[in-house]
Amino acid sequence: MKQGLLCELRGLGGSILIVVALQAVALAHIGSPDVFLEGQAGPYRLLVTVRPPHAIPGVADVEVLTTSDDVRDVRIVPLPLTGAGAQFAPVADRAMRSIEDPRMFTGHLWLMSAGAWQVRVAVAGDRGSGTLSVPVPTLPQSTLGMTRGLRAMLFFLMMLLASGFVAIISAMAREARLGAGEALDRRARVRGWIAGAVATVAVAGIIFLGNRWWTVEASSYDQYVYKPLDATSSVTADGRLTLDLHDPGWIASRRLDDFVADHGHLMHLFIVSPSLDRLWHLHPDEIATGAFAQRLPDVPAGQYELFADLVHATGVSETVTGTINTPAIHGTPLSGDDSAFSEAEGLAHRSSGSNERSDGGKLVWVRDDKPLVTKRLTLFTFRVEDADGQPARDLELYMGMPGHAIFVRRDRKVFAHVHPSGSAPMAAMEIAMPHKPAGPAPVEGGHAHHEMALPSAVTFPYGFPESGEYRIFVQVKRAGRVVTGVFDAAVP
Amino acid sequence: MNRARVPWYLWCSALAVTSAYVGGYWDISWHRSIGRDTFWSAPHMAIYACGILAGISSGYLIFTTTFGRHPAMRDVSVRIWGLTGPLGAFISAWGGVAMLASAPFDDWWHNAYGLDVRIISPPHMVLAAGFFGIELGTVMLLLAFMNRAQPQLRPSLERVFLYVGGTVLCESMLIKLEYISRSDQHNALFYTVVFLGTPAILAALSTASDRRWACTIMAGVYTAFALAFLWILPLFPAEPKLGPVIRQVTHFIPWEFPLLIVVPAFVTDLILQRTGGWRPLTRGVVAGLAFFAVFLAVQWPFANFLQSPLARNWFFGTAYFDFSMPARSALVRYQFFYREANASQFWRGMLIAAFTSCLMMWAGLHAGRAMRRVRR
Repeated sequence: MKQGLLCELRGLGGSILIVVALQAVALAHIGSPDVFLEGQAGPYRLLVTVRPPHAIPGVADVEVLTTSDDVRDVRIVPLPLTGAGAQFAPVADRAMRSIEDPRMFTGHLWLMSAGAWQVRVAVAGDRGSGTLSVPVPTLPQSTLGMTRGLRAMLFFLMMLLASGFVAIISAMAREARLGAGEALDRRARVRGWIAGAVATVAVAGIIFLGNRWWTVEASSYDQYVYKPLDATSSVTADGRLTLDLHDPGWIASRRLDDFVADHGHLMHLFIVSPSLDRLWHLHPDEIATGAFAQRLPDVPAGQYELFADLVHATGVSETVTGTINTPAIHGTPLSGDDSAFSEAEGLAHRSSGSNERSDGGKLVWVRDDKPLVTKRLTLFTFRVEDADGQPARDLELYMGMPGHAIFVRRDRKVFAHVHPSGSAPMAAMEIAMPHKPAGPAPVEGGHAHHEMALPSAVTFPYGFPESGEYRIFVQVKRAGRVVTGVFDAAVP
Repeated sequence: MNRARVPWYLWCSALAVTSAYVGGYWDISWHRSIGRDTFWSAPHMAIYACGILAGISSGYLIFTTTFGRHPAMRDVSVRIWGLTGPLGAFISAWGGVAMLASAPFDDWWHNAYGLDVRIISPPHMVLAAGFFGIELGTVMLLLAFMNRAQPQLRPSLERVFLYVGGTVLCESMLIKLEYISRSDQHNALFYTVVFLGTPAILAALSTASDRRWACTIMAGVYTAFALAFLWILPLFPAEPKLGPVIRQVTHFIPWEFPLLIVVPAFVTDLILQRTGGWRPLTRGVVAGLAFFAVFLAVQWPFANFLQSPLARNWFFGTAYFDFSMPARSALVRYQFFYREANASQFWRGMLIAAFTSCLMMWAGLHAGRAMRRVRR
């Protein structure tokens, strides 16, 4: 992660109190590249995990877990999310059924270019067939280093080839023209030495030029490696936060004027305190191309970290990150879909796996005793209870979702905004399957009250990318009010 | 060795270079039609067969000469690192090691920078060096046998030699594919790229073989292989297994109609037949300029023809496109694209091309004379 640059500008009659230059550091989500999705392929419910490759073009690992026993065949195929390449699919691969778990199917797919792709999963079984498209961002992360063993082996082979070349050229000059049984004379030996010397120079030149070529190629690939959007933020005296995005240069198809709404908002901005005891989930408005603004609510003095989720029209999603340092802000009350959480104010009592709120309600993490693991799809289920311990019956959709979960590692190097449908942004899922709602729960647009009764439990498919201490913020909406629960997870 | 038959290991080496070329061409077609392959794909197997066959041939020769009791063989061998054997066998063995070395390098390259969709990449060039090592080794092996052979055996060896020379020409064209498509054929760079190597290969092997129509025969081998691929590969079904798929493909996509190298090669033969007593420099300049002028005179208008609707048939094969070729591609739109920004750059490029042709021809003539002296 690049170091954020903190600077403070005071000018314009002191109207700008805090200006912080942000350095965005990662792709959609932070340090959590794998895509987890729960969705419906015809009559079959699927849990899909796609692990994009480190380098592009490269091979993605795909795991498809079905929830029923009557699936006979699973086929997977990659294709771009948009553009000419989205029209024709290559021949699909049959995913292999796992020996240990007959409901698990696995496969590997080549993803060929940077940008937004989809993995189309086609399922056939006793109840017919169906398809599910999983949006997958393909963002080259960095170049791979060479292990010491491989370096040693390639160096040995290079030296073998180089010395072999010199020896052969020398022998060619020395002996090739001698007749049968003709002995070597001094002249032939000198000829061999001279040829050997010339060959040595030639080999040195080839190795030098080859190294230059390699350097140029590596530098060229570095241009292709994903570079997140840069952002500069400022907070005025009256608590107005602005974010100005800049493109540091990556692929030509990335633009700053093509953001699309992801469940109703162009930007989802999460502000967290370093100890993760405070969270604001805000939705700044776009005030100009690549510029966003938000009236902040009351914010205590301190340093905070920002995570701003954005989705491009191409389906590529990005998370811009940064830090702000601010004195206490006496801002405006929250409105619309904005929400805030403070551990000190929001919880009457915390116990392991349970948040008891001051209003008597409770969020409970429904989990078994098994330890959490990394790099494996896990279903995180949270039950919402009334003050009397009964399942809550007043849940509503919060921005079209039964719930939102934010997984943050304590060092803030892992951040993921996950929905019950998974970690893929809804906007990208709508591009992938424009006529089909995704996710395990009914999802409807708009943010008005819904008469539809929602289940009292909400489940999020996600997998921790790395071990560490995580905090999970879970947000649901009850009777028009956003409720946030926090849960700590130690992942060995 | 004195029997009036071409020894099995020379056939084995000739088969190795054939296998390398067929595998290489097929592999490119595979990537244009199917896209995805595995370590065990059929074209890869053909490429590996090259290494195996060359390994058998050179290994046999080096092993039996070093450790066997064949003083006659040892008398016509060179000594490298304590081993003895024909020079060509060592060169082939070097090529095999280079092919082996390219495998882990290429694998790492894919993991570090992604699958290289280009032919010209550092690990691929190590592989190409391996191919050319095996080809040069085969050429040197044949030369040594040819230059020592009884008169009754020499014609047979010359035929194999020129066939191998033709595959060397084929292989040299294969690594130039990114610069020699029909949409490229009105660029000066195209001519420079074609002349890098081609006149040298023809002149060197022609001089070494002493055959009157050697250049024409080698260019004919190249043309025959290219036409065979162009006409045969589309007969076999293939479907893309890699996205993005821009256009649907139902059969193998071959490369394009061969370059008309055979025409300047024929003229080169005529010139070389009539200028045997000239100084190599004069000969190289005359033959090089003739090669340049004749190739330009035939290929330039032929490129116009290839862009026309008359060529969009199975015979000339200009309607075959990769599954991933975008509609904006000049090739798809049957247009030329221009690498030189203006007329000045173009004419400077053509001068470079003419100079390259002369230089290569001169170098080839010198190399050919040296090859005639190879005995071991």
